[in-house]
Amino acid sequence: MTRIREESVAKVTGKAKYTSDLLLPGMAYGRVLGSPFAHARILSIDTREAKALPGVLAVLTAEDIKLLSGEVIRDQPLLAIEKVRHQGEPVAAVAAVDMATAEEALSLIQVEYQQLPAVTDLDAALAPDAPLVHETLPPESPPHLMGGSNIVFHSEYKRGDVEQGFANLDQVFEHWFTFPRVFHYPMETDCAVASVDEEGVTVWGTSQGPFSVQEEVARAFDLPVGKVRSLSSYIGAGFGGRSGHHHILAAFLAKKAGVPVKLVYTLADNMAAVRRHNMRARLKTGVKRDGTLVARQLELWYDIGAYSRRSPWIAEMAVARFIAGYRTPNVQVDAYCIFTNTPSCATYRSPGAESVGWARETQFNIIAEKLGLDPIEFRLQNLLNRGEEGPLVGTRPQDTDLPGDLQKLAKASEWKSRASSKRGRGVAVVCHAASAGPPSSAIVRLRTDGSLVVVCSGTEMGQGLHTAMRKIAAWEFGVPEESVYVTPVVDTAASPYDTGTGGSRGTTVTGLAVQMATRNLKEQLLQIASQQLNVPVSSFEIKEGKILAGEKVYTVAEMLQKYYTAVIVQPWAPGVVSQLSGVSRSAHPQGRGELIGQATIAPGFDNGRLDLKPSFWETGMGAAEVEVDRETGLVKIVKYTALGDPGKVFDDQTARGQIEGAAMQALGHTLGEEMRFDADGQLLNDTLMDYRPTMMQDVPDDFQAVLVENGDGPGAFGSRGMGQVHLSCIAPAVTSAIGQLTGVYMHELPITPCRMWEALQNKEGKK
Amino acid sequence: MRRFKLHEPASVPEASQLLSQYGDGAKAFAGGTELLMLVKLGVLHPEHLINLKGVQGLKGIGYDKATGWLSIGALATHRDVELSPVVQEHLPVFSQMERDVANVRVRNMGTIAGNLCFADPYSDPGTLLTCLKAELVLQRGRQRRIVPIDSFFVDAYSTSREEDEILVEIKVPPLPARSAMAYETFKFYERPAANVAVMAAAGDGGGTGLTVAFGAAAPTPTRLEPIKVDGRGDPEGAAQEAVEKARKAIDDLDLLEDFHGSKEYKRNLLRGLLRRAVVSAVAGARSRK
Repeated sequence: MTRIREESVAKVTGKAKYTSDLLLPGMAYGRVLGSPFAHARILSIDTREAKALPGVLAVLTAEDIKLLSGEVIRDQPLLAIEKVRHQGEPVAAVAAVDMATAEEALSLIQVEYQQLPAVTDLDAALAPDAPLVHETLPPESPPHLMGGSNIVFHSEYKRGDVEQGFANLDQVFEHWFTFPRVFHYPMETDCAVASVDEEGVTVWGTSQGPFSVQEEVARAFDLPVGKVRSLSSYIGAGFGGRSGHHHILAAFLAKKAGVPVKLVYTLADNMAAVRRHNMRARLKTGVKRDGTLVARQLELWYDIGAYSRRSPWIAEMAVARFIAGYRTPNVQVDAYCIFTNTPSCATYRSPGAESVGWARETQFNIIAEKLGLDPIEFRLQNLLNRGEEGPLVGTRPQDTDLPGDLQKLAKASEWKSRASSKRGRGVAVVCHAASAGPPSSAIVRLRTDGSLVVVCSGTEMGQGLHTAMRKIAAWEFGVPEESVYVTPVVDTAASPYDTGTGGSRGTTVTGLAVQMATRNLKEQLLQIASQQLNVPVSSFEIKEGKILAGEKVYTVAEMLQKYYTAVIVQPWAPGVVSQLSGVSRSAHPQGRGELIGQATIAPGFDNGRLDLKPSFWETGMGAAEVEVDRETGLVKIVKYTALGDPGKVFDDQTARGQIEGAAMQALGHTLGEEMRFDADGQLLNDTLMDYRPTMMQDVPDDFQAVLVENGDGPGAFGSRGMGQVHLSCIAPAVTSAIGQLTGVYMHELPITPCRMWEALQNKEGKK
Repeated sequence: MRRFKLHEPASVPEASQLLSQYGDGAKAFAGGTELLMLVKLGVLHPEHLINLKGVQGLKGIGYDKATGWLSIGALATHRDVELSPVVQEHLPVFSQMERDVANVRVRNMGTIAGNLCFADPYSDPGTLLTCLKAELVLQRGRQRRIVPIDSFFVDAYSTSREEDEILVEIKVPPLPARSAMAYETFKFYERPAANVAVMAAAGDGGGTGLTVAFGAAAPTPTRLEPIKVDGRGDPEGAAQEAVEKARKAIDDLDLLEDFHGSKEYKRNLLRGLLRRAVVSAVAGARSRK
């Protein structure tokens, strides 16, 4: 029987505690006032009426907090300073005794705006006389920034000479691709509960990195990190979008109000706080007649919204993820980050690859079709072999077997057997440089009843992290999984440091820390056993919770009890020989205590096993079969076969869940999901009535995931991350399947029924 | 959500009295699936919410054997209609249409009467009931009036119901002999982009009369002038004929341009859905000898 995932029962029975379930005595409720305009100067803010409303405990504006943040450029205020740069940008925040009062207070805040012309798409932002989203950038901003336009950052990569490459070829293909704006859409919106007292600041919140929150709050309050405590429990998904400012805002409100404050974003607040980048790209690809890749060029215009946040890093990831996986002598990429008056962007599961991966893989399928090659054969010819260095100079040689994996996918999807003429087929391969890396620490505690308690700072947000951690500890120690417990709350005051759960690092890096901490614990226990039994350490092994020493068998619990029973000191009368010597003082006849194993995965760990960039190549592939209703334009994915290469699977159900979840999430931006703004920068679809993520009816009836376990990853037991890349495979596979079936390759996502129908009409019209 | 006062009247006169007393500041609701959503979104801020769930005598779905009329109480939920054995027996297309309304959570809460009064253009029941020539019973105090569904829908989100009137009952006339219905809706987003209801009645001498209603694509449902097709050959032929005969009516519709797509796309959807609905209605009518 399949064992149910540890986290699932608590979630489906409503017993799992999320931040929004937290209630503190005297707690007040926060709300944020967002800008109604996409671009405007703030002339004045009058908060007097709001402050006078009974039950209002705090009203904050930029007068109270002039805090700027950003990972590359500190250009984003916590509350708008002088100007608003996108609709919904927080202008003021209130805390009141209840939600209704807080909401009423918002309506009493009078803000006088002077509207400015807004640039809400790439064309408008790139026009020669475009209004500037930021007239100036902070003076301490790093180099590489471009002034005087909305282009804020340019990243380039060159290898070989693409012009030379194209010059000698007669097969050069050029295409434009447009990728939409998408919201992360976690089921739980951003939420934080904060309390501030003389001890410092405590924040509970939806965070993928409680330690980052701790550091950000400490910076905002100018406190030593030790005075800030950050906690995170179950999170209703993350997808990389949990880098908002809700923790800091909640903490400032709590400070001002003098009571704990809970701040829960509405869906509209959340859609204004964070989204994924949209982009436009020009791809030029030169191949020999036999399909050998010679030169690839990408120009990428990345719409990053109103503030830079982590976008320059993400643009660089997109560059690397475009290049990865394929042997190509000549490569050139130019990526530009462009400000627009729309919400700013965060990482989003498989950042960069979702758009450039879609463009590249779709174009490869077009090329294969034009050359009369099977798209799988075309890829097999160009994919890097294991151990081969790719066109990204100085990176880790390919660590997965890309051609072998693709052949497995071909077999599983029955690629060779001819599909029905009513169906189109497409394939995609995405291999991305993982951003995962050190450090992570973990603690594993062994108690005298044989319980193993894992304390790590990976956050559970739907991916099944606790299940993976439990298995890693159980396997490493040699105890049954049932005796391992994973602490569900990450608390910076008690849990060991971890950079956070994102970038497919949870199982790989946090998991490695758990494995090493368990190993450390095991070594300690074997040392104790050796002393207790006077037998060398080498003669022991631990299996199924039992320490085997030749003929003798002890349970792990017995050995630890034996140790602690032996060291009990009779406290009342040294020198008196007690009849109770060796007997525990508790009612239970055993010694009490614990052993603590710990480990830190730091740079340099295991001779630099994780130091070479990237720490691994996250590999995913997919093959889609689609049908298109030519009358309505509705696209139906009838079959999808995915292949993941996690190196080692800890929990079959969880691993498949990751692949299925990522693929289905991406079906959203493939077929229907798009944030639509009008020319004034107003978001038109901020509810599920008009915003269209994947629905259950979209899930293909025939949907299987193939898992490759070659043990060749750098994580625990040869594992590597796998939670992201599948988000980038399904869109190109589906786009190409539609193209193969109808002859229409769509260059803009999502492929809504109307867009599909119009494209088919255009094709008919041209005949 | 702002503060509001909740009223829970026990009778229709009491409810209409409250509506009359508070005027613009009051809104009545039953399932709340439409109204509460707007209140939560901040689109509406009623000071008085009048909960009709406790009003006596508005539940129940009935069938009058003598006249063949179906009667739906105002508090019947979408789910009640979907699962009602009476509806399944006498008007299965109604139950089939309801099965596709929103999702099961909405169907369990939302009432069909609330749906009609809200007059969201992107909706299914209005189209089907327009095709069926349903009659709506409105009550103020103890006074009742009957409004044919054609004159109930005025515009998107607007009906001929007076502010202090309560829709208490939906009456559906019986289908003619040797007739069958079909309902087609196209949903990609949460709500339908276009829908078509067709009633085909086999006449003497091979002619089939079609009653066609379109909805969702325009601000209100519309019933077309009756269409006659040859029902003898391949239903697909009858469908082509119907599409041709309805072409001008479709072109004349005041279509909505929105997330679902352009007017041209909507026209195309209506033609396609009409074709599908006619094929199945004509085939159905023919099988009823």
